[in-house]
Amino acid sequence: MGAVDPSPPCPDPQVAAWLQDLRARSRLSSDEIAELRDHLEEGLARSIRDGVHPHQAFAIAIESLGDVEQLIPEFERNRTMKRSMPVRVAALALATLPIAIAGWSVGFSPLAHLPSFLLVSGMIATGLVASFGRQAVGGAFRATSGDAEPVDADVARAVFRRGYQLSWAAGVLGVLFGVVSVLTELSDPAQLGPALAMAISSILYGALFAEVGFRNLEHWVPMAVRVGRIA
Amino acid sequence: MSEKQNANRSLVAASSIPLVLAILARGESYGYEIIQTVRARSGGALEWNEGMLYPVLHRLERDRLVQSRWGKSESGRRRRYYHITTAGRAALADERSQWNQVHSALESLCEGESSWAL
Repeated sequence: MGAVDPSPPCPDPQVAAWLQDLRARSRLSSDEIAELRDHLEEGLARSIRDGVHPHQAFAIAIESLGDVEQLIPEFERNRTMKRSMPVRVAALALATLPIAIAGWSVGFSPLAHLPSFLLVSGMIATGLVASFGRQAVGGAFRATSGDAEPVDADVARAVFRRGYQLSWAAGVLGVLFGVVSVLTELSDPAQLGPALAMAISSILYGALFAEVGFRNLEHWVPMAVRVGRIA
Repeated sequence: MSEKQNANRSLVAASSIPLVLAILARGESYGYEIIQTVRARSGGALEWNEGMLYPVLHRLERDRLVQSRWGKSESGRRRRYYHITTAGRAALADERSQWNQVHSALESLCEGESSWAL
């Protein structure tokens, strides 16, 4: 859709101010704002034709739009959903590239620390299954690809949000274990290395799972039940 | 009607996409008009959070069930008009047959029930 010549300025100062505010606190595109503006002004004109006072007509028009705090993320999520699967995978790969390069330059061994990886991933998996059950967790991961709806989209998003929290929690716990064992092994310098490795790599894995993994997965859940909010 | 019977939320949500497609199958339209049509046709039983229609329309466009173009309203505002695609018509036919199946199952069961009741 090509841009057409701009609309005349908003005749109603309240609508203009409201849209400006919306624009300031969201990332809605000018097309999306224009569409909402058309909607508001149309509703306003109709109310006024029906004999409603302009002030009240504005309140009615805003009210019938629904909760704006819910509306903004719907517009924005819709936009992230526009990215196709290959683009998302490429974006993820790009995000992990610097980590891979950093890992390469110091030699992979310090970053690939199996015990802390197992600790972090084990805690996340156990926590998720304990909270939601195996079926819901499996379904949530399947829900990120394709239009199949193995679980309710709200459940899937809840799974990933919990996964995000659990990832950071597991990372921090790993640090705690590592530091505690550093302190208990202070007399034996040979034990200090592994304990510190545990501390540092757990938080790294926790951060990666949380920020690169679950945070993105949440946005991959299809719109499926999101239209539920129309009601 | 003194007491307006509103449809429950999940029913309203589930019916939003077939209704939008059905309206667009009758001809090009835009957000405000779509909402007015739904309200009029349902006798006010289907009340939408109006703003939420737009993400739904954008999603339908992404799924290539509808297409949009920018035009002008009578007063010269930019207005986005939507029309249905061939894929959209197929999706509508599919939705319709599913709703009809539910409807006829429900009706046949309820007819049976009223004859037991008295």
